[in-house]
Amino acid sequence: MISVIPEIGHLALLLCLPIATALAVLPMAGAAASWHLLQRSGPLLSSGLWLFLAVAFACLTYSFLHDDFSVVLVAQHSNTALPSYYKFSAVWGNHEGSLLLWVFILASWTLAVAYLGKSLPPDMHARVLAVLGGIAVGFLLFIIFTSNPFERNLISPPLEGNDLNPLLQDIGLILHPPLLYIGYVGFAVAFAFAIAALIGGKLDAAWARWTRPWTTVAWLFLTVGIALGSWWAYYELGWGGWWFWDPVENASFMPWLAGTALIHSLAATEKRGVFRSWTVLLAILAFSLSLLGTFLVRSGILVSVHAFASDPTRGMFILLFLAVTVGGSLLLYALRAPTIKPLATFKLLSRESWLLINNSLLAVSLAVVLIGTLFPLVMSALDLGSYSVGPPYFNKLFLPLMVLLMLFMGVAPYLNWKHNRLTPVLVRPWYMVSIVALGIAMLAVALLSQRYVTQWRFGAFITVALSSWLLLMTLTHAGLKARRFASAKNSSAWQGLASLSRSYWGMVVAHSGIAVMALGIGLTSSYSVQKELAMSPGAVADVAGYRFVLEKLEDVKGPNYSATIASFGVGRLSDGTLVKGLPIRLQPEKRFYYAAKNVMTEAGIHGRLTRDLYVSLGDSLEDERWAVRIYVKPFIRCIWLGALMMAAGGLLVVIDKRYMPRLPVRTDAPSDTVASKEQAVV
Amino acid sequence: MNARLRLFIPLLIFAVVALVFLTLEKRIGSGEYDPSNLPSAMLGQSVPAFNLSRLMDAEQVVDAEDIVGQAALLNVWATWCIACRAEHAYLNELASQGVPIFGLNYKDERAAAVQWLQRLGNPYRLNIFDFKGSLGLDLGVYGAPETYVIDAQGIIRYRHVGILDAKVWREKIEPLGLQWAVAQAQGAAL
Amino acid sequence: MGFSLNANAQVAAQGVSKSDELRAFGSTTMRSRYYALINELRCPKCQNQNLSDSDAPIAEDLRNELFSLLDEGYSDQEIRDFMTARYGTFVLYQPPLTRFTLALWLVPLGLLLISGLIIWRMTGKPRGLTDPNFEHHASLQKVGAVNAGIEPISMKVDALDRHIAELERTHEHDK
Repeated sequence: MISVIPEIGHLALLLCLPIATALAVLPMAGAAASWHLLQRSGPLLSSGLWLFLAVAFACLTYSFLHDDFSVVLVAQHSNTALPSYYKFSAVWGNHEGSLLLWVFILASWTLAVAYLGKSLPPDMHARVLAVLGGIAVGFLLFIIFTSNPFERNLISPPLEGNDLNPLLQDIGLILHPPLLYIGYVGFAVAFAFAIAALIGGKLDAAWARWTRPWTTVAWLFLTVGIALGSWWAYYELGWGGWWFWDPVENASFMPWLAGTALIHSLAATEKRGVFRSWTVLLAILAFSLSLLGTFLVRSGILVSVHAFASDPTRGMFILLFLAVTVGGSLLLYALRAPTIKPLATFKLLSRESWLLINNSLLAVSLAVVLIGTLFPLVMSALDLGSYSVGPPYFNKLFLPLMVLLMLFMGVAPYLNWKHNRLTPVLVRPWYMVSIVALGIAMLAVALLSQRYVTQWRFGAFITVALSSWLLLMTLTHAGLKARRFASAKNSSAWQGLASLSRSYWGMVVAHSGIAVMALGIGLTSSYSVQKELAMSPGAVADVAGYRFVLEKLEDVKGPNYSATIASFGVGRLSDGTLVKGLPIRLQPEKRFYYAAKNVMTEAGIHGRLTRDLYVSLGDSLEDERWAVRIYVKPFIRCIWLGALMMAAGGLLVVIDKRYMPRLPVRTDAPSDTVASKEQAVV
Repeated sequence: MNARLRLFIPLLIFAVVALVFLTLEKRIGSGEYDPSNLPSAMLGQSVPAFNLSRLMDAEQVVDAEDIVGQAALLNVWATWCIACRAEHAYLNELASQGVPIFGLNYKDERAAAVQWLQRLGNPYRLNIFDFKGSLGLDLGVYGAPETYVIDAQGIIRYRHVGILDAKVWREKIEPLGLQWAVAQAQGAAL
Repeated sequence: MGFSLNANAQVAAQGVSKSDELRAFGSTTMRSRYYALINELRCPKCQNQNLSDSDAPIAEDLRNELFSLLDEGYSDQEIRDFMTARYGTFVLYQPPLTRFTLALWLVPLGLLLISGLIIWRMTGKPRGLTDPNFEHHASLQKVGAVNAGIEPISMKVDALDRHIAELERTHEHDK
């Protein structure tokens, strides 16, 4: 019996197109003509769009879960032997399904804006929803005409599917794409606010206030999404790397950099009404770079482990879409963005200036990633030769920029808006903090160098000093601020700490996250130990103060693969003898997936905050020996911990009282004479 | 600069980037460019010097002089290479038209390779047995099959990665304008 | 690849029994050079992986070749040149300096300079940088300007600023 579920899904998907078109046109026209009925049609249309996309997505999921191989997509990317949670994630483990997820997430954001943004001025609200509708139209056209997920093969449906790419059969990959897309697509909201403001000619502090929480939510999802992708690469690809500056990684990193600059510059625009043209450009940029990422991954113009299979028509279509969306919005920006420079120049030691420095450094970093990613493509396009731009290039340019950024980040909280002076309290912690940080760095590097290598590592010293300095500067500021509050109100220190706003704590946690991440990056790249060994059962290897004993090798059958599992017992060494036996178990695997006829390596990892033990199984050699890679990676977990702290910081900012929904939007934003003058020009 | 004009800079940058993408897509569409295929670093250079044994006769030594002297193809193949089997019939056809083809038997078993030629026909004038892949390394071979087009002076003019077929011959190798006709006359000597 | 006695002795000296390193490094310097090189050279056939991370046969071949080149005493640069001569600049993750690749370094540098310049111009002259009482100081200056008989209302703000700066200079002379 042939299921009609895919047809229902296809129909729902087709119906989305007129709804999205209506959403793109009607509220916008209503706002232009002040026709209130049309202007208010946005929420209803958004609900309709979301509902039909939800149906389409549910139908595709149903087909995957029920192994309906008459659906070409299911036959290509699933298999009856696949565990059902992977059948579920297989829905977006391919080009067509992931696009459907993309547009479904877009519809979800649109729905959220439709109902949570009701306190916005009605014309602004209508325009924002219309822009989001317009983006949905573009993606729906793309899906329907080039990437239909419901395409069927009813004449001779295969009995068995091709299986999901084994690389994607992993818990990290169930969550990574949705989180990443929530981030990418979330920037569409900031983008829509920017376009709506440019069209409406109202680019003021209130605009920045509305945009901020949406941008922060998108940013925090993107942060978690990227971190998860990096973690996945670390444990799934089997070579212990966590970031490779691959074009596809860069494609997700560029919107993140733009988004990070944006959330900071929005603060300046909201609080002081400055940098408006720049902020609106960043809002356009963050989403444009998300689209660029989508293009790079799916167009087939580059080679990457992460790229989707592609065909040229798709590439041309996204390019066209890119030209309309990005080109159109940049044209709108060029024609409508405010041009008047703020007459009141701000002072070098004001928070405005330092936010500008932060933005410049982030923008240059973004340019480095963009240039490095596009350079080989430009050379190929002009037929000037085949080049690769990879880690040695990016690291050389990126690290100094990050060092500068961290230095500015440490001092920034001590600066005030408008004023040209450091908060007097700074003078006290400044010397102390720097001395303590240097001391910590000396001690840490002395200990670690003795533990992992014999020579003194200068890079590690710089990272530890800088990270602990940033951490101490940030925490000291919080302490001083709380103490000042406590002494003013005659209350306890704890009450003082509790009195600080959530968004302030968000900054403290996020900046501390940067420090923790930098610590992880610096230490793991300085002190990681890598060994490639030939081991047979019973063999012993001592690496970086740990003894690894290969106890046995056994063959095991999984649901859709067969595997060789090696069992290692690992223990700490002291003076060449085991301290407490071999308490740690590591079980790296070598898997053979039947359907894809693909060999995969599953690393055995034992993680602690201070170090990871990482073993991966290579090829089998002669006389029962196996090639084994053993890594000891100090503090590598700090990288992802830092990323999670940044995301947590974002979360704290979002749940700050002043952003909670349903509060009336304050309109007493500082629109000084300069601001109103600029509006007149617009 | 006029402040308004300055706001056009982002649009301009985007236009350049979009143009690059458009060119790439077009070149991919026309088959001129394939991101997974690497252009050879040896183009315009002489065939590297080597000193290896012949496939058919382990005692006999071949060097670069043995294959230089006329426009010819140097085809990298092996019995473990599935795609090589797919292109073999076309190589036979080319050889029968008199195109000189030399073989580079790459990281293969001698016996299996000889058997393969006995079974499928031998389009090669001469086969170099490169067990360790040393000539392969000097040529920049990264897989099989690969086919190098060498002119009469022994200069590498073109490298094709993947299966050689009539389309590749017509669109890529013929336009090089080499004197295959001379080879045709010599073809009788096969 | 063979496992020489020398390798076993080397490994045993480090306290490892029974498992040999896959490659018999002559020294720790050689080991670290080997790992550095296989991490910065790109596998020609793979989907953007370096020689270290790739399981492709060609990557294995090139690792072996690289190891024997190191063994023969090639310098790092000679090894890079060896690989580029055969596989092109494509294999270098840091492209060599040419008139094209110069852009990779100059554009970020230029942007950094330009943004520095913009910030410098936007923050105005670094006046009052060392003066913690600048705000107070400046307002005094404005009073001075008004007293000098200038109508500030009819003035453009930036002209006023310039005037203040000028007054400030004379004021410092007075001090």
